[in-house]
Order: sequence, then C-alpha cells, then structure tokens
Amino acid sequence: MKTTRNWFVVLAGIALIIGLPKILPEHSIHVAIQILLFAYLSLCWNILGGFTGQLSFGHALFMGVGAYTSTLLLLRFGISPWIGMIAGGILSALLGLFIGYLSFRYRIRGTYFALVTLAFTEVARIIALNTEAVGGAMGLYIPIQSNDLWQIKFVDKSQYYYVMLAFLLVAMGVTAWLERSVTGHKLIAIRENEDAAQALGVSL
Amino acid sequence: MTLDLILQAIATGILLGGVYSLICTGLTLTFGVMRIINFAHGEFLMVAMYASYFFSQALHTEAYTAILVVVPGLFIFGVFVFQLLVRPILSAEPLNQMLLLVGLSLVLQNGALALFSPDTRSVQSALLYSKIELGDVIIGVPKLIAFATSVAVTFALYWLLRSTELGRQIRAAASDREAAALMGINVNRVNLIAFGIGVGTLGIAGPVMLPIFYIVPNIGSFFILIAFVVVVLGGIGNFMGALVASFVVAVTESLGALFMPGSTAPVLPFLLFILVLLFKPEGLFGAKPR
Repeated sequence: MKTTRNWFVVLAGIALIIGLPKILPEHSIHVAIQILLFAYLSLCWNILGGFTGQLSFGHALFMGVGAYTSTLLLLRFGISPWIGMIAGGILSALLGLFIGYLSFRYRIRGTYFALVTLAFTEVARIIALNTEAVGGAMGLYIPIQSNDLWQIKFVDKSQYYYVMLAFLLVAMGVTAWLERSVTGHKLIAIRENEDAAQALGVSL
Repeated sequence: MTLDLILQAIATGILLGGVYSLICTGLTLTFGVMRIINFAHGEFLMVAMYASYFFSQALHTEAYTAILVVVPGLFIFGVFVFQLLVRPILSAEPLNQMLLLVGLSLVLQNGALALFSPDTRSVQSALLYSKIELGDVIIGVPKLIAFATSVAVTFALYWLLRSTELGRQIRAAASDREAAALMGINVNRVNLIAFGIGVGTLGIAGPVMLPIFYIVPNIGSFFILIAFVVVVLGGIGNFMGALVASFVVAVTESLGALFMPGSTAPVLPFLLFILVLLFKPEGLFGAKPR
C-alpha cells in the first residue's frame, strides 16, 4: 500500500515537471528555467564544494568561460552550441585544472582557497569587460528568429525549460554515479579528513 | 608619458590607499585578529555611508559631523549582529561562518536596494572642490582628510591592541579561546567588543568617504575584495602591514591605470594577491600566520 502511494506521488511529480510549461504563464516559465539552472549549477558546485569540502567562489568564472566559448563559436563561426558546450567545457576544465593545480600545489585551502578563486573570477570579469573581441561591457547577444534545435534557438521559452531539464537530469546522473564510484569515495574522504585520506593512499 | 602624470598617479594612489586602509583596519580586527571571515564588512560600510548621508541631509551639516553619531551607531549594530548571528557559530567550520556572513551581506545589500532604491546619491560639501596644488600635482582636500584619518585610526587601533588591557584580552581570546577563559577573561564580552570596534571603525570610514564616492546599495562589493586582498597582503592581523599594503595596492592600481589599456588596471591587485598567496602566504611583511 505504502509503495503504491509512493509510486503515485513520483508519477504525479514527473507529470507535473513535464507538464509545467504548458500551464504556466510566460514569466513563470522563465522563473522555472532559473530554478532548473540554479539546481544544475549547485550540483556542479557540489562536486567540489560538497564532496571535497573545498569552498570555491570561482564557479561563476567557469560558467562564464563556457558561456562565452559556445556563444562566440556560434556567433563568429556558426558552430552549434552542442559542439560549443563541449569546447567550453574543455576550456573551463583546463582553467579549473590550472587554478586547482596552482592552489593545491602551494597548499592553499579553506578560506584562502575561497579568496583565490574569487580573485581569479574578478580578474576574468575585468578582462572580459575590457575586451572588445568578446563584446566588452555590452556582452554578447544571440539574435533569435526561428526555432532551431541544432543551434538551441527557440522562439518559445518552454523549449528551453526542457533543454535545461535534460541537463539537470544528466548532472544528477553524473553526481549519483560519482558518489558511488571510487573517485567519489576519495573526494568524500578528503572532506572528512585530508591527512587520513592521504595516509590511506588518496593522492591529493 | 610625462613625469608629472606619474607623480599625480602616485599621489592619487597614496590618497586612495588612505581610503582602503580606513576600510581595512576594522577588517584586520574582525578577520585578521578574531579570524571571523567577515564578508559583510563591505555592507557595514554601506550602512555607515547611508547613515551619514541621511544624518547630514537632515541636519544640513558637513558629512564629517556624522562621525559623532555613526560610530556609536555602527558599534551597536556590530554588537547586535555579533550577538544574534556570529556568536552562535563562533566554533563552527570557518567556511560555514563565511557563508553566514555572505548571506548577511546579501540581505543588507538587497534591503538597502529596497529601502533606498538603486539611485546613486552624493553629498554637497564646501570642501568638495577645494584642493591643494603642489607644483603640478593636485590633491583633493576630502581625500587628504580621508588619508590623515585613516593613518590616525590605524595607529589608534594598533595602540589599543598592543598596549591596553582590552587589547591584550582581545589578542588572548583570539589566539586561544579556552585558555583565555581559564585565565579569567570574559571571552564572550571581549569578542563582542572587538567585533563592535571592527564594525564601529566603519562609522569613521563612512562619513569620511561620503564626499569622495557616490553611494549605491552595492558599494560594499566594490571594496570588500580589495579589503581582503589588503588584509592578507599586510599579513593577517597586522595593522601596520595592512596600512602599508593599502598604499601598495592603491598605488599599483593608479599607476596601472596610467599604463594599462582601458580599465584593466583593477586586475593588478588581484594578480598581486594570487601571487602573494602562492609564494608568500604569510603576507608581504613577514609575520608568520598563527
């Protein structure tokens, strides 16, 4: 009986999530997309901040690099964001590796790690504001005339809702997988006790 | 590039350094000595500036007179915030403390946005356009006042912490809470007063900065990162170090503005900060962090 009711709740939830854009007015859809986006970003942040306990203020930087990369590729070269997001992801990851390598190589952690990531973000923000090639203070704008799934352009907001929902599901899947994987256990070990983790052979 | 331009940039930098230092002395106390990662420091400054603005508007006086009211006001506000929010989490993870104060800063910032609107405000003052000319170098009087005040405040706090009984108690409570309590120090009371003083110094910074800067609800966010940069560069908890670091940061910035394209100069303090954290984490002036 209990399980049947649980399944009913789950199914109703899924139906609600899928049907939401059909019943919401335009503005509320925008809010719903923001909710999904924030949930997605939190999941990304959680892998570093939640699993390993390293508080990063730099995720705005990584999101910015991804967004600028895919948008510039689309505007300048007409390359689809589906490819651009991979390119942006790789660039972000490289930058993350660079900052992470520097910080952990020089054993910066805790508060100082948070401040360093914040400083890197600030440097990037000022550079982006002053570089005309990436739009400067005006930023970049993608004009949308028609629906195009390949270029992720939609006239209708609700389509973005589904795209964002799909990304969120992928991020949840990755997080769940990571939590069960050996890497995930290592990350959590670092959070709980860095020295003990190292003594047991986790390479920090 | 003429010499007097460079001299002017250095003079502007030193004066701006005075402003930075005025903001940072309080942070050196709360962050540097008490080790509370006070991310709301910029918003306390914002509160001080709005308070002085409304005070001087209501009484039609120079902004500087607001110091008499805003310093005790901010002290009480700081004590209130400490009692209500900071004290319960004093022994929590540093990162959780940081998040709480980031949260407080968001609340204050958006509260100000709702109450005072995003309009920029500034005061009119007889002193506003008065200046001193030293050869080709021009020095604005309000900035000179800010500079002199900041040096005085820094020395006063340094003296307070080094040579008074209260200062000794603050340092004792900061370095080992339990040992200090065992020595008969009322740690709660000492922390409360220290946090109040740290916030209260902004009651001086607010009125002094009012003739120099426009006030907007997010003015704190322009200074908070620089303030942390300065405190770390100066060596955690080192008042004199923070004073010198303020000048280093500000002169770097104003000289950078002369030589670097567009408005990219503000990256310099952050690059300096990253380099110092990587290679000399105890700060520019040596004192080993506890």
